Formats: sequence, structure tokens, C-alpha cells
Amino acid sequence: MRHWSEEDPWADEEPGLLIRPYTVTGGRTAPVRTGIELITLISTVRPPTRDQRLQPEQNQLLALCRVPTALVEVAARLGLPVAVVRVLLDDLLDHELVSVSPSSAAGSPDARFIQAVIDGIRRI
Amino acid sequence: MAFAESDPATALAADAATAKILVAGGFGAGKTTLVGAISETAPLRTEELITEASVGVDDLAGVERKTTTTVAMDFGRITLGPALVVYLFGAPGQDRFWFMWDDLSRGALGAVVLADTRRLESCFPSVDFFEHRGIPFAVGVNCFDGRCEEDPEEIRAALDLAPGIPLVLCDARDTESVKKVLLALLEHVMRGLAAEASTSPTYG
Repeated sequence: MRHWSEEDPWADEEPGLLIRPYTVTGGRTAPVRTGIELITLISTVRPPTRDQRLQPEQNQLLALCRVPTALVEVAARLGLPVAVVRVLLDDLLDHELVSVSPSSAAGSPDARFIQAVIDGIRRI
Repeated sequence: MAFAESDPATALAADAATAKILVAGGFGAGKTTLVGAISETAPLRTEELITEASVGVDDLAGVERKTTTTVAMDFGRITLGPALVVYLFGAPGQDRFWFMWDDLSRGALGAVVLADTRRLESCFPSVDFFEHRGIPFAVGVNCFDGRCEEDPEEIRAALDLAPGIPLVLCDARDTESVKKVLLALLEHVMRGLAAEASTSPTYG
């Protein structure tokens, strides 16, 4: 038996940062993906096709996210806990009906980013 | 074209950068009011069902128990352009909710601790939390009705704040006043980054 590190090509370099490729899961109770945060923006890519049977909440999410909307805001507007929205989101990502914005928590923010926020707030 | 929008919220790009600022403080200090004063939407609320280990609640030696708690989190949104949006999170500052703050503070730019001079001690736990975790924060002293009779230096001493930590008198209902608090925090964050860059070795 080979050592685990020889079997897993993903085991080095960037553990924890990966959004898993489309995974076949049935009857999921917990989200598969990591890296989706409260403030990750969710955007609807396209409407579902006829044969994609979605739950009403998922259709609501698709309608809401025609304007890019953060996970926490989707939860608040749909009246669902964040954990539930994460699971709904997994299906929609599998179907490529939504996209998510790049993770912001990776690494600490740099000075240019902070300056952009400062400039923006000054302009309010 | 994208930079001259009249309704920034609808112009937000799908891959826009997002930032998070926390608002902590004791019950009734005005956290949601502060969020509402600068958010482009009325403050939104999520009720989160959170499973927490019941540490110190009813200690049954050797028995690992879990309880489910509902925690309300108020937040607001500030779209600063098509490629940048900031979310402000106000959440309870009681000791029993700190497990939630650990999650919330990951990736946050920093925090505002809102102090109410009538109950100054209620923001002590928040100050402790951010100090111990090395999360940059600024203290906003909420002076209701715009009357600030308190001496900022006395408040600073009462909170035992380190010299560099900003303390700003504010009115949590007033947008301009809230802007000042946020800018004080962000400039503090900038100074921290600059200090870090000058003391730590350069890699690569």
C-alpha cells in the first residue's frame, strides 16, 4: 500500500482553498464546498431548464441573485438559516446555475484594498 | 460606464471584492442603529441556529452535550463601487456568543466596539475579545442626543485601551458620525499594516 501522499495529487500546496469539482452526491444534508463565506456573492448565471427540478427556495434564490447577493443576505431575505442556504447553493452550483465570487478570507487584506475601502467610505 | 452608475447596488459585479467589518458592544449600545445609519438597506437580520457545546452551562462531568441556540445577527451593506462591497455585522457581545465571533471575525478588516457611557462595562468583553485575538478595532463612544459630556481620556482609561487604539465620540444614528468611526478604524488598520511591513522580513 502506498503512502497517502503519493495517492493524492491535491495533498500538497493549497489544502483548504479548493472548491471541489462537481461532485455527485445524493440526498445531501451538509454542503460539500468550502470557501463560501457569509459575504461571498452569489450570482445567477442562467435560469433552470425544464428537467432541472428545483425546490421553491432554490427558485427564489435564483430570482434574488440576478443581482449579485451575499450568502448572508440571501439567508436573511429568504428567511432561512445560512446553513440551509449553503446546502441549496450546492445543488445550484452543481447545475451551474449560479456562480460565487472569489474568496476574500484567503490571506490578510493588503494596503491597497484597505485604501479602496477608505476612499469609498469617504465618498459616501 | 460601470463607474458612473446611479444605483450602485444593481451595478455590483458578480466577482466584486467583499469586505467585512464587525460591530460589537453590549446589549442596547446601538449596534443595529450604527449599521442602519450607514447601510444602503435597512438592517437585515438572520436568525442562526447554532449548535454549541454547552461548556460551563450545566457541567455534567464526562458527558459531552450539545445545545442549539438561536442567535440573531444584524447586518447592513455598503456598495462602494461595482467591484467593492462592504458588509457590517452587528452581533451580540455576550460571553456565551463568542464562539460565533470566532467565525465572524475570520477575514474581517476589523471591528468597531460601540460603548455606551451609561453602561461602559458592557463593552469590556468585546474589547478583551479583539485584543486577545489581535483583531484591529476602534472604540466608538455612542453619545446619545449628540451630547458628549464624557471625557474621552477618562473613557480610554476606564477601558484600559492601548495608546494606538482609536477612540471616537459618535452618534450612532448619524451617517457622518458613523463614517468617522469607520475611517478611524480603517486608518488604524492601515497603520498596523505599515508597521508590520517595516518590522517583518520580506519573503520571496
